[in-house]
Amino acid sequence: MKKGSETIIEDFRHITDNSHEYAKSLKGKGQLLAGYMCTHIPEEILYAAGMAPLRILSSHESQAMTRSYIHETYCSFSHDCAYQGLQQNYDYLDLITHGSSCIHMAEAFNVWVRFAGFQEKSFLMTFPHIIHTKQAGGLMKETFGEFKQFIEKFTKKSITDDDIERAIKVYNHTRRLLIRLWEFLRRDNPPITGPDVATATLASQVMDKQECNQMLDQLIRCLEAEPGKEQSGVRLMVTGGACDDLRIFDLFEDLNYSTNLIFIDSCTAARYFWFEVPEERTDKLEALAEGYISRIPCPSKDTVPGTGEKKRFRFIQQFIEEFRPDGVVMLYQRFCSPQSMDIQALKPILKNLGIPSTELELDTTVPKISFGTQLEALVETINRVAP
Amino acid sequence: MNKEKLLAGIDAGHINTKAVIMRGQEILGYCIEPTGFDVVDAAQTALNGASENADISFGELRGVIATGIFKDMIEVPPQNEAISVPEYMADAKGALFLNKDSRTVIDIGGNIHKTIYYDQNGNLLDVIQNDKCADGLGIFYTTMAKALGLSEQEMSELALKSTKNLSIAIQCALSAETDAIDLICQGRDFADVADAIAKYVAERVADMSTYMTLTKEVVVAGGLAKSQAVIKHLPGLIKQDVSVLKHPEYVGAIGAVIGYEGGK
Repeated sequence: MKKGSETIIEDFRHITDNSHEYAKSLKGKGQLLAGYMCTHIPEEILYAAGMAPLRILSSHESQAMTRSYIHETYCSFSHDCAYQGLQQNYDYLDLITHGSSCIHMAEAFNVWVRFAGFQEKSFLMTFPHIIHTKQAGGLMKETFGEFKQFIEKFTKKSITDDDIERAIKVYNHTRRLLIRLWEFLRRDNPPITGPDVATATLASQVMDKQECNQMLDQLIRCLEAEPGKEQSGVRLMVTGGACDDLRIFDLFEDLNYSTNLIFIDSCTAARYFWFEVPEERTDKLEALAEGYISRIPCPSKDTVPGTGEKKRFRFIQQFIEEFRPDGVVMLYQRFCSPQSMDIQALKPILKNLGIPSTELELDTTVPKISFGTQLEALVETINRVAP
Repeated sequence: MNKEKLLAGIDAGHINTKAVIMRGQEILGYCIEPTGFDVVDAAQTALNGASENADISFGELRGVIATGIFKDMIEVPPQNEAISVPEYMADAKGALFLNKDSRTVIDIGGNIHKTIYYDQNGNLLDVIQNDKCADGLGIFYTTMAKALGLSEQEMSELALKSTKNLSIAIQCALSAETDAIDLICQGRDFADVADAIAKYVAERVADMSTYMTLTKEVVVAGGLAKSQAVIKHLPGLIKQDVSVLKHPEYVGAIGAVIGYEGGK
């Protein structure tokens, strides 16, 4: 008989596998739906307006159509997201939004606006290019304000401070629940696997947050009551860029060696939720700006002026201390320059910490055998396997 | 007896050299040879083969017209030279000759693929060629057939038996090859892998073709036009019906003769 946690995880998996069906069911209940690309959009403002923010995800379907719209050497995630618009897979959305992140995703957004029928129902929100500056907070507050005004006009409904406060609390609750879920993986004998945690995390980005919170809460209660499984495998941590293809994380625990995925630092995993927005502040937009600045930054935004320091690396080192990986997998979209530049800077840090690492370049497809071989080679270097 | 001149057309491509013998509007013989490292030798061998196929002696030829990427390297005795016709023009003239209602030809060759739009006289109106990442589509197809232990024809036939839709990375032929080999290593059905390869080729061609308006009728030329598996995917991707020209790999060589004759 299935355990309670297994049923909930299956439900999360079903939602990620059938995100369009799920979104349409929300629409059927009269919910306004707002799609967003990248995680720089303050979802709380959409939620406060009574909309359900849903992240645009890729379909992992190889196609060449978008080569006529955006440059060949843009990452496959941006191509795939653009393709979703051109194929009208998200035609049920009432609105599409984007917070200027990288040029690749900006072009994917432009494809939706220019060619997929979203011109009259789109909003591009300015997000500061370098977030570690005095000016960034002010600029974010201002652009969040413009975004709020647009949403009020769009929904013909004013958004009160109470609405935003409620949204902040709902979202902070999701973040705390997700952190608790990931923290199970710090244990030597966690009751849940990394791929399952990654599944719930991805599902949270395409779900109604109230329902998501209920499911997460229920899952955590089940897991707390369940005995953990003794882990004997090599503990692997992932750091990198957007990856919404859960097959890759499944592969981590399906190698010829015993391995356990114990953490994912990416914008589709930890970077999505590993922060909080201050509650009960008088100035709600300022609170949102402060919260979003405190996030683990995307490599495209992460340069400390004057020093060139990467704030994200502090988080990575913190996660390494807390989650104790034996090896790190740098998983990033091919052609994502900020991410691959980060890797060059991250390698010496990992070397100093004595943690072996490997790189996996993401494309639309998952070459299971070649990725598997690379991951097994990493495990072999960790275990000092003799031929 | 037909008094029109006997002319030979040569399309010296990256991978293959194609020769045709024509008298006026009539195609008398043809031959295809791998270009290899010796372009001149390949052209001569193809010409000899086409002459033999046409049942004429080489000396009866009144002219040799060359097109293709190596057109300027062709040396034909006794003058050791050939008249040359640009390849886009040759393709347009050849396609129009083979289908008078055609206005767009998609040529899928060994190293490059291109789409050409022309008027009722075969004059070029618009052209587009693949981007660098899509170079070598035909070579990729041949390489993948070899990886599967098949000829190109066999791979096409196998692909048509596919029952499952598999994807391979679209970025470039190199990553596509890696993906296809990965699928083979995963134990996937060869027919499905073959179909994924054919679909990859069709997608790259369709991607390029969408940069211009495809005016009816759309016809397909080049060596890969012979792959039914590739052609099967094209109409859905370019949202146009397509037909494969007769002698698809000889369209350039035929067009060289027609282009030269028409230009006189």
